[in-house]
Amino acid sequence: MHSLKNTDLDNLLAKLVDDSITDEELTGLERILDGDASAQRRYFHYLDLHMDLQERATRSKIHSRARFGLSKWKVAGIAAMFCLWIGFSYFAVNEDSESGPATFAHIIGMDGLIEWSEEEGSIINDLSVGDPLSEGTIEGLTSNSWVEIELNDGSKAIISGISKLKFSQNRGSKVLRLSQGYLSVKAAPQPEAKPMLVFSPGARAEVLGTQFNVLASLESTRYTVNEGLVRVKRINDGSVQEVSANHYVVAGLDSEDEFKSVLLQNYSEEWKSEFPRDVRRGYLYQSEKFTAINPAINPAVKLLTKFSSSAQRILAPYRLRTKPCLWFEKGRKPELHFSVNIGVSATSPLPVRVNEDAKFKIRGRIDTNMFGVDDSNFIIVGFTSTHTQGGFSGKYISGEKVDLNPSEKNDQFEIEIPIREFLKVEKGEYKDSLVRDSSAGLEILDLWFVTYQNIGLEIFDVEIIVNDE
Amino acid sequence: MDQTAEFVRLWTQYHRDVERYVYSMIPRSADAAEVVQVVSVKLWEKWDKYDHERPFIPWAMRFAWLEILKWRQRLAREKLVFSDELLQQMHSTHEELDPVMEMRRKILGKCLEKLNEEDRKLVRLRYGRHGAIKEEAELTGKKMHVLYYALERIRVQLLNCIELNMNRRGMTDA
Repeated sequence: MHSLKNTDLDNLLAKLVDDSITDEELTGLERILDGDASAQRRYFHYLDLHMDLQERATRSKIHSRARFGLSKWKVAGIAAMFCLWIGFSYFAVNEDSESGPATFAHIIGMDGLIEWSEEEGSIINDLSVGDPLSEGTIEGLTSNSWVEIELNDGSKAIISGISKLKFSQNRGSKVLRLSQGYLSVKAAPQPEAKPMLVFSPGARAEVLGTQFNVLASLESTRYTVNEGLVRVKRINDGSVQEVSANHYVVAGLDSEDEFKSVLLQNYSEEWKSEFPRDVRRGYLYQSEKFTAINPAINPAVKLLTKFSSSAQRILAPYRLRTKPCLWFEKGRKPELHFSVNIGVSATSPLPVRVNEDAKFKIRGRIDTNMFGVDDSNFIIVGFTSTHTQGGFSGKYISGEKVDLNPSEKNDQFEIEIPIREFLKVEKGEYKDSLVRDSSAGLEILDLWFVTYQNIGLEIFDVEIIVNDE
Repeated sequence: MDQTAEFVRLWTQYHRDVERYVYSMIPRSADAAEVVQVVSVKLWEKWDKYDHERPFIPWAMRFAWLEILKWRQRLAREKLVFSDELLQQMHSTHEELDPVMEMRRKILGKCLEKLNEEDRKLVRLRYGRHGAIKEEAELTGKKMHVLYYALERIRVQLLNCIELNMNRRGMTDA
């Protein structure tokens, strides 16, 4: 049972799992645990409880009292296994033979790995076009995932990329909760007293009938309205913006930035990566090139880079290194690859659109010591595109694997790839094919680099340039 | 059975055990997630060496333990939660606890039922969605620390309930 001795420990453990523990408290925790098997057991039980609650919430198993005991679940099958940044999933089979919950929507198009969690808790990831969906959560699990659903009232919603959307009905209003990723909605006219409600990090929107896109990260949401009007409320201060057609607004979770509807024509065709802002996947680290030469100047460099971003870029530039990833897709052999993912429109303050004459300029490094076979100095560059009016458009990759010749400059490279050289990926059941299809005018959501062998690829920066003087 | 399918089956079945173990040794979610990802890659790379007559979990945990040690070495200069010595102690304690963990998880379901509706709602908010506790604080006018303090109390209540039930079953890890 709980004892007085445990009180201090429990307090520290609560702070640990709630991410509010200080360095001093961590030291205190270590002191309590050291040599005390009973405290260590308490530690494991506490963390296990925390993880169990997390898992149950993810699988919607913590219901109100009335729901307890209605169904029995059994983990019954096997699912695809994905990179951890995407998450893991497994099938569950509902053994309850009673009729299921009311249908809320149907799937009308999809690709990639999609997972569906019913409100009652079962998780399904062998979905097909035409499948009915009750209230619950739908998730895109990979960069190339997208799914389009049609709600019973004729409204259509698409999520694409790594996205998570929960939908339900509350007192006659449709409620969409986007916790992460990209959502595009074409809302059918809603009753005036019962608008469609959209919740996302930092914002809440009311919709009566319109076409709009929502791009949500953990810290903020961007609402882009193409038709009609969306009323967006920023949660942290309650301020409201009426966002009309061809306008967008960005609402931050904690930000004190200006919250104002901006004309959509403000988009960019040129772009330069900015780390850590644009990092979506990869190991980010800073190379302190000057301190490596002369460690004595380390404190000065640290101070300078802390207060000046330009000094940081020069003295301690960021580098984004590939992460390993074991990639499973249903019906295919697992693939081990190494990748980074960089947000473009997904993280930039302005949407970035493709100009046919644009090109990518990429600077980075590969480690030639790690080359295994002759063709290991290849990287594949790809980007995800979305329609400017919303919705996943396609995945484009460089037409040929990029051959690098890093024999000079300490394995560093600088390459340029015209955007028109990128080919669109057409999904096949067992094999993808590449087709020539212009991406001009589309929005670039994100950009990624993949190698199939660990050659230590590091990206320093990427630019999209239209006119290279 | 197809070797690939067998790997997927076993990893899917047991990866959460590995995740729990790694997180308890590296209680920083982002770092723990990294290590689990590396473990999955290592297991796949070594899959042809796996002896199918032996249980999967100890095999996977061995890789997890090695990756935890490597993580510890990589961050040796940083301020860490655990020293090498404590990490070793914790590893041993975890091995001893393994047989009772599954039963504790089963009992948790019953203990959750015993929470009052308000407490259950708080748990649902805390674990269900990022930022929900903050929104709840704004909606109800309660201070964030009050809600987190309530969560701390609820966790202790759940732990006590689990231990009581374990004792009734004559199962103890003390």
